[in-house]
Amino acid sequence: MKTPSLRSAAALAAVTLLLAVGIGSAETITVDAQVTTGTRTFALKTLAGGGLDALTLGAAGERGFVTSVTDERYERVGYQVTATMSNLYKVTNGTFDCTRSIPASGLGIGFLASPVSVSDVAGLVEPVWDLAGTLTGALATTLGVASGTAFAVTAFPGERVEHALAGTFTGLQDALPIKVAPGPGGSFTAPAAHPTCGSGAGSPTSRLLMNGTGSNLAALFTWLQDAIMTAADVGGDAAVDAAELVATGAADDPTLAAATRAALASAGVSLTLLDALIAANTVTMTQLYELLDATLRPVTALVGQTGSYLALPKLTLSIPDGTPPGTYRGTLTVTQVDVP
Amino acid sequence: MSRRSAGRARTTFVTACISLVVLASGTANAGQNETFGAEPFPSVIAGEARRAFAVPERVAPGIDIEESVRVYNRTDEPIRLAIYPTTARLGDDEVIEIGDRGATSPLVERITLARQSVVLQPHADATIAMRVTMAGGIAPGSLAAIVVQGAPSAGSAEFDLVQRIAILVRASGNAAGRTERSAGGVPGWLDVAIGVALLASYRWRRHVAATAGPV
Repeated sequence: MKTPSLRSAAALAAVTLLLAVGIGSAETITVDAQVTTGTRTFALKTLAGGGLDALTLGAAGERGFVTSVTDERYERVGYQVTATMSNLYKVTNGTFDCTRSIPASGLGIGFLASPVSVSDVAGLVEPVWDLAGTLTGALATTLGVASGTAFAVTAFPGERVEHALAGTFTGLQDALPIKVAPGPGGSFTAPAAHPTCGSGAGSPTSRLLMNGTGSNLAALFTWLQDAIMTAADVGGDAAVDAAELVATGAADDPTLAAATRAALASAGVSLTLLDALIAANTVTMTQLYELLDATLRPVTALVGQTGSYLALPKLTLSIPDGTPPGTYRGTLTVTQVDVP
Repeated sequence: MSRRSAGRARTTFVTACISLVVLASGTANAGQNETFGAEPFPSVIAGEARRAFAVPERVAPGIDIEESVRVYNRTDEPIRLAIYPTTARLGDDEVIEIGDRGATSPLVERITLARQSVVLQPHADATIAMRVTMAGGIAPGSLAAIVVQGAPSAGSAEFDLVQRIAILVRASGNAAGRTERSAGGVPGWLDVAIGVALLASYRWRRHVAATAGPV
């Protein structure tokens, strides 16, 4: 038996089920689910993992740092993390000399050798199942219907589930929920305004530190489809029934019981009789569930995504000839924006 | 919009300016860094999460768009945040270039925020009213950003660091009376309200979104 990973995710999202039980032999259940509530957090770190408050370039004239974006059940939306740079101004005893500067164009963004990494990626999905079964033999007789009577539950909403993709990146790089890429880098041609000395261009040069964009999800959906089926297949026989859905938590038992009862009623089973048989333990819901073969509808959407994405940019400085010696200081502004 | 309606809208906005709402902190659908977060408010309308503001290019005369930005403090210390509209444009390599504070454009000039800065107590949040003046319509494809900016780091090195979270403001171009997504996927929820009646206040719009849903 395989347990769906992070099934508790379902408990974190308030889901309202509106049961629209019809009278056909196949029942339809409409789901009105709230949008996933999640967070996207971006952070700047030193290469050692500490908080990044300021940058010192040192003798090498460049310094790497870490830009990270961490999604927790966030809706699948692209993002950009960009940087702008002011001129550097000479500072003495905490006072800026705005007449002496190193232009921002002498500074630039590059990337370290392995510029991007991704970890702990998971896709949050809402599986939908079609369930179909047939009453035969003694059970059909007990329930007062002819042997061979079919009953079905269509479009049954499974529990929201989050499947981790850890260790499965091979072949899925192009199918990540967010494909992450570093920016092309380059110099800060137009400076941003400096808080003391001003002199900004108004529209400063923005250099991309990270770019998370959508990608082709077909391979990911196929992988998730297989993962959901595998997780629900308690018996390991490559087939799933409603009892396995309940046993693995892939289906909410009370909701499935209501849908199954409605399907049986549509097939001609008296619910009064059914309740009496269940009360007498002559028939069990599990027994009925085991008759319902479950077919997973193709996964076509991600409800949300989880994952951490890292980029390793570096700030570089080229000091113009003739620059008077001294301490120069400027402001690096890093902006994160969702790009829906 | 009648003069009385316009007056009511104006009154509503003034009220919103004065009554900065401080609520318990929450993080639904929020973009954040380690210190603060920002999101359109409400963050979900008619079941659709919002990651940007979608503004129609044209509305009936006399109508302005009222919106809100929620900001919150994730730390155990009080923080001061600057909040301002600025330019946004699609630059080379499809980089969205977010301007400095004070950068302006025709769309930016139409955006007014009730506050330019806010001090948040530990783990508190605040909702800042925003108005987009719509007279004459907005040029198709216009783009701007609402920026929430933390204080500069107090480092002693050559570079101070400033972190910003930006929320895009897009002219959606949706036709009034329909609910549809813009090309980028932002729900054109404002059109829902416009299709029903005049925009008067956020509270009214939320009511529409909650009861009428997509038109």
